[in-house]
Amino acid sequence: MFNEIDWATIWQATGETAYMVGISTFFTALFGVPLGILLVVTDTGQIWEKHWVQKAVATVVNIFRAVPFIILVLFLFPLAKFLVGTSLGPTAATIPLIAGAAPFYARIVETALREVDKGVVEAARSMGSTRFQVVVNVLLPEATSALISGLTVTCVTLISFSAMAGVVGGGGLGDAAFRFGFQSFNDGMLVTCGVLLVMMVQLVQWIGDWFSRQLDKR
Amino acid sequence: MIELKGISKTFPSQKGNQPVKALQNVDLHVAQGEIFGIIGRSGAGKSTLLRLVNGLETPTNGTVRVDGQEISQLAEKELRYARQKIGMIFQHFNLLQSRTVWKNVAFPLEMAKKPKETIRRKVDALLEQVGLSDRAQAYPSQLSGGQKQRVGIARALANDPKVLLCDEATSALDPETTSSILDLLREINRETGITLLLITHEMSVVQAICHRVAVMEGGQIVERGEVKSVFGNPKHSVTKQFVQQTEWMQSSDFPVQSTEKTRFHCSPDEMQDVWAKIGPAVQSGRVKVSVSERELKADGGMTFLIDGKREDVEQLLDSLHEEADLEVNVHV
Ligand SMILES: Nc1ncnc2c1ncn2[C@@H]1O[C@H](COP(=O)(O)OP(=O)(O)OP(=O)(O)O)[C@@H](O)[C@H]1O
Ligand SMILES: [Mg+2]
Repeated sequence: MFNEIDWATIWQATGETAYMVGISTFFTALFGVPLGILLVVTDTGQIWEKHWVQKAVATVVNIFRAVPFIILVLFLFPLAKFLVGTSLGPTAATIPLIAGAAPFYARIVETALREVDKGVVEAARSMGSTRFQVVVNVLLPEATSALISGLTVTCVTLISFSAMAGVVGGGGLGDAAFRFGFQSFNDGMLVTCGVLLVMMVQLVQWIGDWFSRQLDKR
Repeated sequence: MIELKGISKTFPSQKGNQPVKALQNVDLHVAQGEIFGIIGRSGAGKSTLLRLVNGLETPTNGTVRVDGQEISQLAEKELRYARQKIGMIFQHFNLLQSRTVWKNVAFPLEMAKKPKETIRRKVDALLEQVGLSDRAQAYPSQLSGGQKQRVGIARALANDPKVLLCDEATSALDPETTSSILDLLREINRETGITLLLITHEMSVVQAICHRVAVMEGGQIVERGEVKSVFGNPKHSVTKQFVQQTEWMQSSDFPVQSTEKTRFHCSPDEMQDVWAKIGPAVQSGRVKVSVSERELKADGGMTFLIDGKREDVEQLLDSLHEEADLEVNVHV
C-alpha cells in the first residue's frame, strides 16, 4: 500500500501549500502589524489616545477571532471570487486564511508592543520624537524579537489552517491527503502528506526561532 | 531659566478613586547654570513637577516657563523643538535595548534629522566625554548600571540642551558609582553652564552637588534655600528626618558587623513611629542603628540594621512591635 505514492501530485501539493502559507503569512503581517499598533497606541495612557478607534479595531478583531475558521472559509471563498477572480485553488484560499490569521496576529503584535518598557517611550518623547517616530524607532525595533516569534506561531497555525482550507477547494497537502489518501484508501499518500506538513511546521519553527534569537538583545 | 508659577496638578479620579492632588500651588525659580535639587519622600510630587518642565505633564493651573518659553502654551511642533533643548535622565536609564550604545546616543540626533556626518562627530565626542568610547558597540544589557547612566547622560546631551532634568538618576546605583555619576554631572555643569534640576530622596546627593534645594511634601514645597542653610537649620519635620537619617548613616559604620545583626524594613507611613522608638535607643548607646543607603527604597521606606547585645536588640524590636499598626519585618 506504500508503493502507489504519486510523487508528482505530492510535490505539486507541497508547492501549493507553501504558496498559500507564504502569501497569507505575508499579508497577515502586512495587516496584523498596523492593527496591533493601533490597538496599543490608541489605548488609555498611550501616545495617541483615541478611544473610539480602539473600540472599533478591537471589535472587528474580536469578531474575526470568534468566528471558527471553517465558517470563515465557507463565507469567504465566495468573496475570493470577487477579490482575486476565482473561488477555487490556493490563491482563493489565501483570502480566508488572511482573514483568520491577521486578527490573531494583531493581538500578538499588541501584546508584544505593550511589553515595551514605557520608560523608553517616555524617554523618546522627552527627546522630542513625534508619535510616528516613537512607533517606528522605539516600539517596533524594541519588540522585533517578540514580533518574529509571534509570526512564527501564526505561520504554523496557517499551515494547519491551509490543510483545512485545502479540503474545501484550496488545494495543497491537506487536499491531497484527503482526496488521494483518505478517499482513495491510499495510506501511503495520507502518511506522506502528513509527514510533509509536520516537516514544514518544524522548518518554520526552526527558522523563526533562529531569527528571534538573533534579534533579542536583552 | 526654569520658572514655575502657581502650579497645581490634579490627576482626575480613575475607577472610583479620589482625584489625586499631586501638586498644589508650587512656585519655583531655577537660575541659569544652577544645580537645583528637589528632595522629598515617595509620592511627594517630585516626578510630576519635573515632568511639567518638559511638557510630559500639563499643569492644571499655573505657568511653566523654560528659557523664556511658556511650555504649556506651545503647539505640538514647537514643543518638540523645545524638548530637544531640555535633556532628561532617568532612574532606570530607559535605554533602547535593541540599539548599541553608539546608536542610543545617536537616537535624539536622528529624531532631530541631523545630517549623518554631524551625528557621527557628535556621538563620538559625547562618548569620549562620558568615558565610554571603548564600549560604543556594546548593547545596554552588557553594561553596568553606572555605564548605562553614562549612556543616558550622553544621550540627553546630544542636542546641546540648556537644561538637564534628572529623575532619581542615581537611585539605582551603589554609593561609589553614584559619586562618579555626580562628579560627571558637576563637571558637565561647570564646562557647559547647563542648568540642572534634579530630584532625589537621598540627602547625600543634594549635599554632593546642589547649590540650592527645595524640600517637597504632600505636593508642596515646604522649605527651600541654600543647601547648607536648609540642612544646617532644618525647620520642617520632613527636612529634619532627612538630616537625622544622614547623621546616623555617617556616625555608624556600615555594614554593621555582628552575629546579632538584625534588619527590618519600614514603609513611609511607619517612619514617624519608628524614628520615635529608635531615637532614644540609639542615644542610650546600647544599640547601633544604621540605614543602608542601598536599602533606601524608592517607595520611600527604608531598611535599618540594628546591632548590639542580643537582649538590647530584642528589647528594641519588642518596643517596635508594640507600636500599633507597625508591621516590622525582621530578618535575623
Ligand atoms: N498619571 C498619574 N495618574 C494618577 N495619579 C498620579 C499619576 N502620576 C502620579 N500620580 C500621583 O501623584 C502623586 C505624586 O507622584 P510623583 O510620582 O510625582 O511622586 P514622587 O515624589 O516622584 O515619588 P517617588 O519618589 O515615588 O518617585 C502620587 O500620589 C501619585 O500616585
Ligand atoms: Mg518619582
